[in-house]
Amino acid sequence: MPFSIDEDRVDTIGKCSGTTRYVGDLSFDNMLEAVTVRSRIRRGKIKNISLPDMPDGYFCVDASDIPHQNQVTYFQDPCPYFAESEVKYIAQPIMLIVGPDLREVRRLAQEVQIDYEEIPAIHTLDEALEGTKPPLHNDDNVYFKEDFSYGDIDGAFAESDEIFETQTRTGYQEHLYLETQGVVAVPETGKMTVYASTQGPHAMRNALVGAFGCDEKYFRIKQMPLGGGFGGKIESPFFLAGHAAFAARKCKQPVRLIYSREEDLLATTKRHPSRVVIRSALDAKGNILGMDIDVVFQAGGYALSCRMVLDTGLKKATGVYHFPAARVLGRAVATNNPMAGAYRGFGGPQTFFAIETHMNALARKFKKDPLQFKADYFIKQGTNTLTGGKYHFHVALPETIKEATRLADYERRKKMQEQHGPILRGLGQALFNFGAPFSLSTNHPLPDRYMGLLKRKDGRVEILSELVDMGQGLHTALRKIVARALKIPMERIIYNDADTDRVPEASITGASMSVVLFGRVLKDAADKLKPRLEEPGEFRVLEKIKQPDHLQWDPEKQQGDPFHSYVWGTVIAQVEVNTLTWQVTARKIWTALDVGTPIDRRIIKGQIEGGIIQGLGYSLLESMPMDAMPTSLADYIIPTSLDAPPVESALIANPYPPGPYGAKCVGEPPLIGVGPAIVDAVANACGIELFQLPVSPEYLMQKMANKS
Amino acid sequence: MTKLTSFILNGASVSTKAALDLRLVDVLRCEFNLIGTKEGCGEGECGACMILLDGHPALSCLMLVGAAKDRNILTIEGLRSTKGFAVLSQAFNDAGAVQCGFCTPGMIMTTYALLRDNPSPDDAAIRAAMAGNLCRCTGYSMIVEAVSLAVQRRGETW
Repeated sequence: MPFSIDEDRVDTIGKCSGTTRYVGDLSFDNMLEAVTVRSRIRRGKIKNISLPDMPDGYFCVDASDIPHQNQVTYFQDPCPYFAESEVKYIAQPIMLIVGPDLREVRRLAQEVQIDYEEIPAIHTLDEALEGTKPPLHNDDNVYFKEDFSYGDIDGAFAESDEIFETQTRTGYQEHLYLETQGVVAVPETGKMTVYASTQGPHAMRNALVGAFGCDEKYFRIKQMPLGGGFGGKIESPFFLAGHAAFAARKCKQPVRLIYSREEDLLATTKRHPSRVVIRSALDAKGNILGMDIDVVFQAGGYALSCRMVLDTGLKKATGVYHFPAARVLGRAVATNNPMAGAYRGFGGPQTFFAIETHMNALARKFKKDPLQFKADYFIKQGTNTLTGGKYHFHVALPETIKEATRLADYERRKKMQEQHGPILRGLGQALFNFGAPFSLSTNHPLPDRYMGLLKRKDGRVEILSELVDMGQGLHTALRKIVARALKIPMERIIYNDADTDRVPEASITGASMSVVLFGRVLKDAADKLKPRLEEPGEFRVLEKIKQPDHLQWDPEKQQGDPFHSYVWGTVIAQVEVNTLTWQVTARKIWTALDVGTPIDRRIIKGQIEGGIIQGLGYSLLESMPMDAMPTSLADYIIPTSLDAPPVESALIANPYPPGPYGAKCVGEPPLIGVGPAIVDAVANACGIELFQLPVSPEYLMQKMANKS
Repeated sequence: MTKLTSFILNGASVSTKAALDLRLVDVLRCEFNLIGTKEGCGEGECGACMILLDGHPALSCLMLVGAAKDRNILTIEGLRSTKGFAVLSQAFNDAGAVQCGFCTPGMIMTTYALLRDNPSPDDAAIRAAMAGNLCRCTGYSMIVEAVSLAVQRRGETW
């Protein structure tokens, strides 16, 4: 059996004993503290700023302190580090207050008085589309629009006997990594080092170079251990790094910028809220002739990476199915809300909630078993993708269904969902796949980038890669792959946290691509190093990062393979609904996943269980009302140990030939199906259809009141 | 006149000149350099700053340093040289209970007090005891398994 031993992680003991230094644990001589002054309104023109009397040693930093350009150049669309004349979202950064004592800095920041001329703000995606408020972006508030289709969709609707329509909605989700965002910028002679909690060290360096207009050697990013990421430490850290670096440049002293939880909840990126309308054209027997899917993602005051998140979500919008015809239209719209961005699942949780909820509702409408009903449309090996590419490899979806239903004793349990006093019980399921990595760059050859191995004099081998272990266990997984290729013990493989002066630029860590894509690059490097392992001295073996050979993409027509590889999965959830409080409690969740060859089962279990419970929070608890953004963990509720049910999981071995030893990915997929499975379970328990996440007691009570 | 606040910290008598209205978590981290106590929320919701106050779990972000006067405070730095910590950290390792690690010192402080007071908690008791320590990475079950493992292995350790 390959990889039959679960390897211990090298970071565990330091994390248990509290010796691991996160960025907030760093301290430097003469270090100053910084606090961000933010817009308290959603939208308006800045008329006047008055600063309080600043004691000696305290000062402010704003757009005028940016050496080159007030733009976060990572993003395709404009986005400033500091607002200058106008603010476009609540909590937009306007300036920093910097000084030696954090309490005093906070007091001064509170006392900055900013006068605005307010402009009516766009609060929701509906308002953005209605156009009743002055537009925020172009005439229509649409940052980005895209569509895909196949088959004769208009013909399907013309022929249809019935049209079945659902509209699903999902809200914001905050990453809620336990370590809030933070950086320390330390000016040195002719150089500046930025210590950061980031998923993209080189991307951060490039962004700073863009703002400073300097040589890239000027900045060195040292990535500190991350107290969680989940996609939330890709975009927001650019702002922190820029702010702290502008301040450090101005005062020529180290500057530390650590967000409070209040600030982190309010100001950092979140999962895009969504509205998805699905219309199915049905024939007289209830067969689906075609499906029309209209997706709207709510972005914030600036676009950030909404193109990529929407694009990835759209390419997953038809789920695990192939219909005779389909059309998917997507729009990402501008609102005056905190900015949405990358988050575990990257558009997939929203579109899978929509398609699975639609399919489950259709099955109930026709009183059919949902798994049998869905099976008529399953993707198979060789089926075309939404974008005209192919599912090249074995589709293990049926195996995951078989295994998950066996684990859950699904058929028997389904019949046992009777009422007990005020408690209703329900069982639900959802099917999903997960294409990885995110898709936009598949249409071009990748830039010339490398990662590789350093054979050291002492015989140990260091992995030279900027990929970040944010807690998910990536460094252990990649060390394991390299050790196996080199046939040497794990202990001889070293993997340090990234330092942009030591390791080449490769990629941000995200999109579940690290093992499936870069694991293969490192394996290839190890295969080249193997015959040279006994050579004396120190040398590097670098390997070019490349896409797998089977990918085809026509950038002109936007046609071809949208993703490298697909994880397949089934999730089953059992819930109890208290008919007195309308609170939903998940009792147990079962899942079966095809992740290709498992590299480390203990690490994979951690990703599955963590992803499922994060998905459970999204499904039942985590809510951010658009008009009253929560700024406290007392208002934004994530699952505790008492909310989290046991999770039973199984892996299906379906090796993916281009992956390292057949591995695919596991970071994002476990979260994807949880929302629709929970909603299906509640729908079965209550005998109604539900179309919204989270399923709050208020929402459920309203639906049940309407039912009776 | 500077007021000194004296207390027992990890077994040693200490005193601090810190203003009485500073939070204990800041004094521990900044003055005593005990960085194993983390701040995850600053409002008593997440448990990352958990210490033992006279042996009982307490949130150091909600305590002012004046409240520590003459009390006995144990942080992860004081616990980590004990045999009990060795059992707990090995169990957390073996069960895969540590991912990003930011919640882990707080989790271990809570677990240590739980097992001292209840040598054989069942899963429900473990989950109830851990409910004040948030974790976003693991989904909790592997932490519950770690505590169960420690229950089996602890013997008479503490």
